[in-house]
Amino acid sequence: MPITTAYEINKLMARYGVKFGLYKNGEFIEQLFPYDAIPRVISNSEFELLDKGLVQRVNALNCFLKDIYSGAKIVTDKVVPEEFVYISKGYLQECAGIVPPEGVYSHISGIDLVQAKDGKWYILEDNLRIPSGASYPLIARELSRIADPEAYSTNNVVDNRNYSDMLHETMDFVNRGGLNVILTPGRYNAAYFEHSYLAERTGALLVKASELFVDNAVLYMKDYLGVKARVGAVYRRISDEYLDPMTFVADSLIGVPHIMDAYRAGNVAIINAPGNGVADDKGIYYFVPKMVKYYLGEEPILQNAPTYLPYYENDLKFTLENIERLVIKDVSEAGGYGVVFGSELSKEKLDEMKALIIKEPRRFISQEVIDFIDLDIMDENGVAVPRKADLRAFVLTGKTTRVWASGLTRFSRVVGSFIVNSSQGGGFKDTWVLSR
Amino acid sequence: MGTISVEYGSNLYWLGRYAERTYTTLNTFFEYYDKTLDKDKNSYKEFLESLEIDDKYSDNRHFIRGFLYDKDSFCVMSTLRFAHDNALVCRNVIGSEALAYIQLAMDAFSSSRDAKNLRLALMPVIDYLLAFWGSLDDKLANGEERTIIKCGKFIERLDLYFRFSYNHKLIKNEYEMLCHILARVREGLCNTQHLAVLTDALATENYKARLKEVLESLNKIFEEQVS
Repeated sequence: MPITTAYEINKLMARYGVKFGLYKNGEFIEQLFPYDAIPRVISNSEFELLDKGLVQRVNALNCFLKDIYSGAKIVTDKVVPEEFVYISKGYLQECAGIVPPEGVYSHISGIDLVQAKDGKWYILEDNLRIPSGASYPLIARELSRIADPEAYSTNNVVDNRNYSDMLHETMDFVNRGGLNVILTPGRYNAAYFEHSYLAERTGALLVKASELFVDNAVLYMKDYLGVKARVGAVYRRISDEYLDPMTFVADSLIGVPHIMDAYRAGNVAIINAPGNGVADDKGIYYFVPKMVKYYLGEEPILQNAPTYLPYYENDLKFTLENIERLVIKDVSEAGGYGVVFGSELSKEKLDEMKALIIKEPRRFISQEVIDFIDLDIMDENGVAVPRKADLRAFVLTGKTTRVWASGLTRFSRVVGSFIVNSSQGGGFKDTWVLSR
Repeated sequence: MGTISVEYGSNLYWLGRYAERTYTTLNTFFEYYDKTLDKDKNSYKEFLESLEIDDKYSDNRHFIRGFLYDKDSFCVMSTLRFAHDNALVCRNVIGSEALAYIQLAMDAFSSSRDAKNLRLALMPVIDYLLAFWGSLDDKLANGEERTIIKCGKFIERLDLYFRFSYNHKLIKNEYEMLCHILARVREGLCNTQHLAVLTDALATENYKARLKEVLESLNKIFEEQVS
């Protein structure tokens, strides 16, 4: 791809305000999300395998959430230790006994994968709370079809511009009667572009908490003449803890008082369901392949990265003995934070880390470092250079569970770095799935 | 769409006002700018007076750069930024295309800063603002959202035309446009009683004597209902 095409696409990105926000020293800064015009290409047969594996995994995770909040048979059957469920930050006692509309907990799942150098895909992380990022490859495709039409007439690329239809269908499927809305914390949220763009594309109303209210366990939006309109589904882009000040953090200004009452009464769908954090906890991740067998009676199609739980004595011993070559993850952190590579630590820091793991074994997991493949990105001179990249696949659950034939490929802009998160300077590229 | 909250209505209204303020102010600014070339180097003082802005500028050169690019809320750069702020939160209604024209206007405005020929360099800003309105008309043919934005547009335009003492016929035309739009809004959205002052003032050509009263009434038409 010529550098001029890449330049044109980035110019179009700027035109359409494809940005994300960051807070630096208390100041909100909006910047363009660095886009690389060389797409990741996934063959048709490779995608077929990913599709099956991801559908299987998300179905198992939905089963797990249903189970955990209505009896927790998987705990009783000792497949998952209760310590990993009930002390997880993501477990919400307030959600116990609530069955969400149509029994769907994770409507939009963002599953992070990497491809090892032998071609095998590994799941790195499940994101079942508010996985973000779909809007970026969605608009990138729209714009790159303008800037580089030839690429789409000569390659057999599956059109990914159906994401908004998929999302709309998911919202409609669980809607309890009324409007579909996207609830945003507001203009100064890091992902505000995504909120507004998805609202535009799905036809949902973009609202802030101050525009919603609950009356008699029904959620409404009030218009400027005081006329109220019922809301049937809320795609919320607000964390659980801030969602309802009457139930969670009392001084939340971005939540809707009593929205949990409406949800509990079955009068509104909340997408994704509150309490999902228990299933994407880094500690629970270890057990997902076991969930697949337990709930679905199937062998997992996609594998986790080899993971050790210091909570188990053998794994603790292994972690301490091999820490120099492992990656240690703090289960309570996200966004690439709390990730430490043993190989990068001094002896002193390694000892400190070991002591911390011994003191709080439940707080950490350790993993083998997957030497995942580099993808070419174009540097400022138009020269292709290799960088580490992962893939966030989006899996939507409504009437059925479907994998979006695309995804967000994030790459590190630092040579050799495994940290691809946008909040830490990473960029993104489009993901092509070939139709044959 | 159907359901517009108070806050959203306010964003739409102010989007209309700030986009129009940028457009009309720029056009009027260049009329005065033209006069400063060879007729009256101090004509900018009259321009500032019309807008009730204190003259803090040392000369017309200082005024030209300062009024366009300084950070004061009345400066053109600021009004365009306010338009952008409001457009950004209305993307789902106005569409990415209309928002992009405001973004392009912002970019063109920023890059004009060092231009030798400001008038030429700022022409694309005017073009993008016109394209913005065209894009809105294309996307929101009949919606209530369009009516609210247009309310903002024509209220702002009349406000500035009154201040700059545009000719009576022109003002009357714009006034009729505003009435035409107000006739389409849902009952209760606007306080059309305030139109009476404008009707009365425009019945004669001597509205200048009642300028303060006229501007107050004009600004209450929408804002009394929104707040």
